Amino acid sequence: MKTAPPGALLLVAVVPVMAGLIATLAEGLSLPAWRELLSEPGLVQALLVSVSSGVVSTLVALAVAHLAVATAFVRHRQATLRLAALPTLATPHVAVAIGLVLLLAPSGLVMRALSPWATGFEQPPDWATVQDPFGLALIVGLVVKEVPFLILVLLGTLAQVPAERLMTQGRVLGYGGGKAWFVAVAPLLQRQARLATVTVLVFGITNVEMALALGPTRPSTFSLLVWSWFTDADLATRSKAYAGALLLLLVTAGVVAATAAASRYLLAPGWQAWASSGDRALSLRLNGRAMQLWGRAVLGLGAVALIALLVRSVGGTWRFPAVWPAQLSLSAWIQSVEDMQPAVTASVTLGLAATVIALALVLAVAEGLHDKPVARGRVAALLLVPLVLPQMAFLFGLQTVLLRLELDGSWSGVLWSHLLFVLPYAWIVLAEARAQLAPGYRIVARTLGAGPFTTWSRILLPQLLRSILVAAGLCFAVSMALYLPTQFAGGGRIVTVTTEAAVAMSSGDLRSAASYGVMQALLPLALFAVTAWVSRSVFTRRRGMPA
Amino acid sequence: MSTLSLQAVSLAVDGKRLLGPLDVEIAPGQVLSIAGRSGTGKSSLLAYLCGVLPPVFVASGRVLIDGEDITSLPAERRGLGILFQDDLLFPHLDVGGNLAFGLRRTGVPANERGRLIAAALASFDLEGFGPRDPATLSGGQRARVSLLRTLLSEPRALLLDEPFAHLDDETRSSIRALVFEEVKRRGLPTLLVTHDAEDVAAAQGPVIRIDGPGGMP
Repeated sequence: MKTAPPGALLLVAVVPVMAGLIATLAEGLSLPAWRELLSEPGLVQALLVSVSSGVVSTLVALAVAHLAVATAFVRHRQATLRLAALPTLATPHVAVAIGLVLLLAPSGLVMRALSPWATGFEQPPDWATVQDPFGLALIVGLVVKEVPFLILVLLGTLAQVPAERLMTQGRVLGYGGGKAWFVAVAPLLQRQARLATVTVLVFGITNVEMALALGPTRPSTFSLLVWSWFTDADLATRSKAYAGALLLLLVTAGVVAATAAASRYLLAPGWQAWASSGDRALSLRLNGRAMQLWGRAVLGLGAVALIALLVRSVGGTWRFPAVWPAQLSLSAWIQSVEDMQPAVTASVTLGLAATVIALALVLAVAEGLHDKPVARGRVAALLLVPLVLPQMAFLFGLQTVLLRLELDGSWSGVLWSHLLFVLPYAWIVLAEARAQLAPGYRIVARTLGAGPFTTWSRILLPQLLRSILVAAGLCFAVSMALYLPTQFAGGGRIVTVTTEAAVAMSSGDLRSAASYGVMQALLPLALFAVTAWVSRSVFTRRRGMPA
Repeated sequence: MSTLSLQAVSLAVDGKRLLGPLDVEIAPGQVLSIAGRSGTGKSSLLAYLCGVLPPVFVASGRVLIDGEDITSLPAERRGLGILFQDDLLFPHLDVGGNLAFGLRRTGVPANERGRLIAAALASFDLEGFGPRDPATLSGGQRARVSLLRTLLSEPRALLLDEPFAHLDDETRSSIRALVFEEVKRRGLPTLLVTHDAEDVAAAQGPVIRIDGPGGMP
């Protein structure tokens, strides 16, 4: 088995990000552009909404995810929780946002369910229940989308922590279940989930796709403002957009640093004092209904949003306050299938190509680094850069780079931009799975007469199959959800299901948006279902296979 | 019947000598024990003999089987068999599949492999175990399948890297007796690395003790 040097991976995934960042810096470091940016009306308010929605949604999502994992642990329901988190996790942000609009808007399902018997409304009220000026709907959307991600991260780290023994020890020492969990187990999980938390925080502050549907409009979030300058037909706003991207980078870095400092100098000492106070009681019954409610409410809201998408996409006339459409028909679907076909084809081919390339590249590099943990850690740190940077900070510049390489607006340019975001997930899953295989397998197979490739393909690869399937589902779902990278690298010429869903949402065509949203959810879920089925079908009688 | 020779074999890491130089000759059916604490380079020596030493080590010296220099041959062509602490049965293959993988070097025709595997299993009191999932076997059964897999590959010499360390006392004695019995019956020159005095005593062969980095015979 020929291994690939880590440089190959970094050339594909890190060099373009750095080049994009440098190009953004070069374009954005202009005094007139900054003057224009800083004199923009509503700038401070836009920044405040961005930061507050990002910080609050991250804190709430983190708290809910921890509670959900804690209650699932004490009730031995981790597998159920993982399964419950999957649908919303696999569904792209845009689709979840559209589903929540269908639920929370003044004419949405929630208001319909309460009208007219509780509200007296015969017409949708003129309320800003979505796109509210405080960004509350945006916060709800971010929480709904990020809780499943954090739950899966925490469940993954839970497997690496001796939680059962720590809980037993805590109880033997006389601590209640709640305090034992939050003193002994939760900090270990959170330490492992720091990077995931940062990615959630950065996305919360800088996202465009959820803010388009749920965020405030006057002014909008800062990221949406920058995006509007960049897509403005007037090219004069372009330099302001570059400066805005740099400001977004600075503000995000500042918030991440401030959060880290607050966590270290305020939260940690307080936590330490509470943990060592000797107070053994904590009025938290982890297996009580009140504790289970939070996780269920958030995951349930995500599931209901997906159902709302489905109903709206097949519903015909649907007058307020009817809770159910007058008729359900697949005709709209059948009619729109033809319209959707180019976007679906582009999404699927991009997703599959990005997945196959990412898996092949990661497997080849991971093979060479399976016994080099330090090098693996360095590669991971570099690959994760696109996830912890505001996308706009380097995508603006990346577009300039693609333009110079004559890849701007091309399918391969979009594929490359997708790889930047797909590769980190492939690496996280596969590099560790490969490293965990006992080195002796390779030595035994070689001494039994197998060459390097046979050893890899017949002994190592089958043992990695389940991890490869998980990584494939994840990579495809990530590619399917990418909005800004597709827009930047595609220059509007490559349309995917996600970009079309956002267009339909922006133009107020809720039925079309719902159809695209359903397609967005169905495609990754279909691949997850296939990979799960294959994973369960092969090696069913091999209990010793790595999970 | 082969002879395994090590000529001036030494290992170094980070510019410091870890082990050697080692000059030994192991006769057919003889077990040479190298005993010493963890971290003295015993397992790295076996990795060097197999041709899979990680590049962080620097090794020198020659390895010969029956006078044939195998030092520069790839692992799959050296004709060595190795057993580790863990049995390392391939979890995606059944017991028969594991044993068949061991037969690949011998050139046994595919239509004869099934019969050969069944006979080999029966000789190790594992009759009918071919379709079994390795995960369903006891520690002793797994150790026997692992030994059988190595023996079916017809190695010219055997390397043992503390292969009894993970077994309970009773199983350990019986597996140890089985391994040494097979070594003698097949006339395999064998190198055992261990930190266990009982293993050394049971091997009934010459002993080299290594007490620390740069250890010398």
